[in-house]
Amino acid sequence: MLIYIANLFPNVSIMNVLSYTTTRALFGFLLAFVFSILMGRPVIKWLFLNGYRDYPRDFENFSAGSKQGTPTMGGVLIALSALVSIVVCADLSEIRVWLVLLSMVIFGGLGWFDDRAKAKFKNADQGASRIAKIIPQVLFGILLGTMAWQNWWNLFPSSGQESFGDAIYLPFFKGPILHIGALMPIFGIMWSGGISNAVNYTDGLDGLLSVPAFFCFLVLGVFAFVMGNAFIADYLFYPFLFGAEELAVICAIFMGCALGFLWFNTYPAEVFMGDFGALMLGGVLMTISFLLHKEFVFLIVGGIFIFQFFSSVVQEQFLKRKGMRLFRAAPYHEGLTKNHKISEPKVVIRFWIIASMLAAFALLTMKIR
Amino acid sequence: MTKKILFTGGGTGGHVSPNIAISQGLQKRYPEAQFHYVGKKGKSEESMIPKAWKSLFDAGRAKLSFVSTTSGSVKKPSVLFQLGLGFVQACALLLTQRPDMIIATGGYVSAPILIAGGVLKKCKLIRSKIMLHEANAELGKMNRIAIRFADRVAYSFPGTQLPAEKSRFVGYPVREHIVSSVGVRTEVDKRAARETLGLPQDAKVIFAFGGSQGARTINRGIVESLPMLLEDPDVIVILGTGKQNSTVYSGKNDVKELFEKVSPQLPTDARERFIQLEFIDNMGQYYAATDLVVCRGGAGSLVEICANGLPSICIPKVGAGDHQAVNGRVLERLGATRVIFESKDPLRPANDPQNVERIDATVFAREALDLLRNPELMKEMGAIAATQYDVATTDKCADLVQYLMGDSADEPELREEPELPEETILGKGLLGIIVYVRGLRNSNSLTDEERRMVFYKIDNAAAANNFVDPARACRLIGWGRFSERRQILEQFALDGSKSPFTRRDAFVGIRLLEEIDASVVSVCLKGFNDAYFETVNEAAYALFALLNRERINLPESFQDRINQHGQDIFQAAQKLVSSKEFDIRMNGLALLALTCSKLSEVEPLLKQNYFHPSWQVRKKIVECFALLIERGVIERERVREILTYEFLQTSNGFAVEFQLKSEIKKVFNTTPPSHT
Repeated sequence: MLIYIANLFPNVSIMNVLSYTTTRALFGFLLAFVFSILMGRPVIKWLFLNGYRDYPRDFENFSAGSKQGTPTMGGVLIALSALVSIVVCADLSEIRVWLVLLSMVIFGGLGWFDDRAKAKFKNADQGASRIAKIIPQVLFGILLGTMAWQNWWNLFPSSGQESFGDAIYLPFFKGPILHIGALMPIFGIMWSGGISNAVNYTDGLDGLLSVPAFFCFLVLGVFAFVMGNAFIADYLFYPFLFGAEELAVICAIFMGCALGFLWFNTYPAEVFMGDFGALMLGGVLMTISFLLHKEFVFLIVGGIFIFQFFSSVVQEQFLKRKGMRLFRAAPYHEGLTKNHKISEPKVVIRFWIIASMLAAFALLTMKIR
Repeated sequence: MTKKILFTGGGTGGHVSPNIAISQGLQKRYPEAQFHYVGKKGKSEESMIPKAWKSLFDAGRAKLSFVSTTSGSVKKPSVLFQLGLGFVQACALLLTQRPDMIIATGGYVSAPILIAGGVLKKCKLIRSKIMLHEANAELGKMNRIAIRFADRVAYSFPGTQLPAEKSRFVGYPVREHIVSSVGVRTEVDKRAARETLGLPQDAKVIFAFGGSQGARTINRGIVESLPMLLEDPDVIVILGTGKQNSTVYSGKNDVKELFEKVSPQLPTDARERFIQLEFIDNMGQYYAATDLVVCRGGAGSLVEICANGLPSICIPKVGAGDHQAVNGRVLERLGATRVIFESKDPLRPANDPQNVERIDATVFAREALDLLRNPELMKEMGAIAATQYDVATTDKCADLVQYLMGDSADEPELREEPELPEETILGKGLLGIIVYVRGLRNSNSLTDEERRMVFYKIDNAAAANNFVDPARACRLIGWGRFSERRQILEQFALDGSKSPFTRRDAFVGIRLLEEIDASVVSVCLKGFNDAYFETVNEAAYALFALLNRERINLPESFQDRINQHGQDIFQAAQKLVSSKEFDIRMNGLALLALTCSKLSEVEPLLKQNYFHPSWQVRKKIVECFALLIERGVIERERVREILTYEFLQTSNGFAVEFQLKSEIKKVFNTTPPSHT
């Protein structure tokens, strides 16, 4: 919308400011945050009244220490403010924006089904089945992979002889390390299924997901800005992706959403993100990192997600195959709060600190190559 | 219009023969109807159906077809694929044939037809009625799934857990040729049968058999108990060993070898009083001549025994879902049989092929002689058994089918279901039993019956070759304080071939058992060297908990134990205190505080941990000081000094309380609970 307004007044130089990427990104960041704060209370009330929470089963065991009864599926708040801000600040003629919106719909939709099933059966184990969840993730992965491989809509423009879409880039290496061609859809499936679930596994303590996601959006936003800007991309030897700077706007918007959500979600939480929010954030992060071909940088900055996922998967395999535990509990944060009995805010903030360190390290890969 | 009736179910003869029986009942009522059997290629239905339906095939009124299906977990892709293929085949079959009635006896063979039938019915594409027949006292896996599609579920044993509105108690339909050969026997029959078989009229005859393939447990149990059984000069034992051509197990040879082994202990005329038969084609005569039957718990065998009105000892086969045990227990609760459970030896390696299910021969012999010496009781058991067989079962199934197809207006009156005493153990999973036993822990009110079944469950779970069941068995032993099975705990705790969870739970069991003696102490001390951290932790915790309990309840014997083992425990605990796992270190410190004789022994070790990064270790130190004060090892003043000036009091943990919720809680509980 901002671009549209700027185009209405081509001769008013002050209006021209509105079309700058940086302006729109920062405005989107503020708008998303403010919108989240304003909508927070009504959304929490709506969620509570519509049964998106767990009920204490018997009043005998009603515990003053437990979080039972907190409204869940607060991802609605993130989705709402992100949608509004994207419509206002992003350039809707850019296909990448629509791909991000599509990922929000698919992954958010999956999470919504899960949350609704849990709310209906009032039982956390009664979510949607694994297979039902995996099919849309696989389809979206195939879409992304094929799009990159075939360079649809010129989203992955090749520079000279070198194709960009089917290339695998590693941090600390200037050029692509490998061209995998027709294997790209398979890579897309792995990426789509893996990352969104990894992010979902991390959700479990108040604020444990929002802030690491914030840092991920920050780093990806910087990369999007760099690769979408012809001068800087050239200076840093990155392939120039025309229109990728819109992804920087979107990243800024999600940073605002994450902070706005954290306002209510920080310990002690008034609302949980639910699978809706966690899967949606995972899907968006996955899509943006794939569109920029910064998958392996994301593995660094999203190291917390990867570690949590890894700890869960390895633990499960140990339980199944050896009849023993590797970690005291899985995902890893469970062991810290339940077994080591470290208080929740402490665990969460330590995870934030680690996330910020990982973000700094990921940004370092921009120059050191 | 000719009716089309489709039967499915199979895999084993047990699933096929009720279908054949029902079809025999229906043939009389529908002389024109088309009969169709759907099974799996290569299974018993392929050979049984053409024989049983010979006249129907000759008249062109019968058909046998096969679908793709398999047993196993649907999580496996190959299983899913085969079942999917079967589903498509079944859909095609149902849509082209359009049967009026689907009759299924369960088993994985019936899965494609039942699921396809259920789905097509839901979509209103076919109008078939579906009737399930459950042969066993416990609902099979497939029938449990199919119950939602079914119009009626007919069942064979009283007390089967089913939704009331659909289920009808009919009994187990027996095939015609078997019905004609059995019947409640009379003294005259008995005399005649013994004459034909050449048995003395006044002998006490035990007739044991394990079906056509033979049952290893029964063969071995009988032969092993011969020295005790044949001590009574009137006893004659007839054993049906099973066909020799079975590739898995040859009953004849096995019995022969074992008999040679026990023959020195047998009386001289033993060879005349022990008759072994490979196969029996005149079952009716043997039934008529016998006093006591020993058999498996399959629905078919039990129904035959009931039909003959005989007292029996039932040795159910251990297997998926315990259905034979449940069958046997139904009759035992009614008073018609005695059940003896078989189990593997849990103390031998689970993967040893020589470690097979067996029964205790002494228990069996005692039980059998007890019955044989009490003819009144046997008569009563036989009479109760006879009431459990209804000759009209097949007809009643046919009535039910007729009603479902709309050919008779009223639903037929069925048999009255006898009242049964409630079953508390069998039919529950291990976790369910643990919950039940835990609830009774302090009242100690398990009956002897219940104990017997708990031991059966424990033994078989402990002998299972997987990660989960032996561990659960260990916890069950502990929760029920089953001292009789303590040896399992002590052996599993130190058995490196068991899974780490099993070793850990063995120590949990030892702790819950609350028995301490020199062997428990030494097992726990050896457990400290385990490779898995949770096991070490539980071993240390168990030893501490047991010793501390003894210290409070029996201070004198505690002092003796410390005098005897104190040094060993102290040294082993010193090693734990340097562990990198915080919880092992905690339990090590607690053990030190419990067993030290003077402060100087333990103070340096405690002091090392005054600044331990894990606050829980420091919390344990405070508890240790409390214990030391109680034991009089240290002055309260000294502890105050240490905790104030030398000890890090800040910690990473605190318990939250939402103040609003605690206010709400006050409203719920009119008498606010004291803070514990």
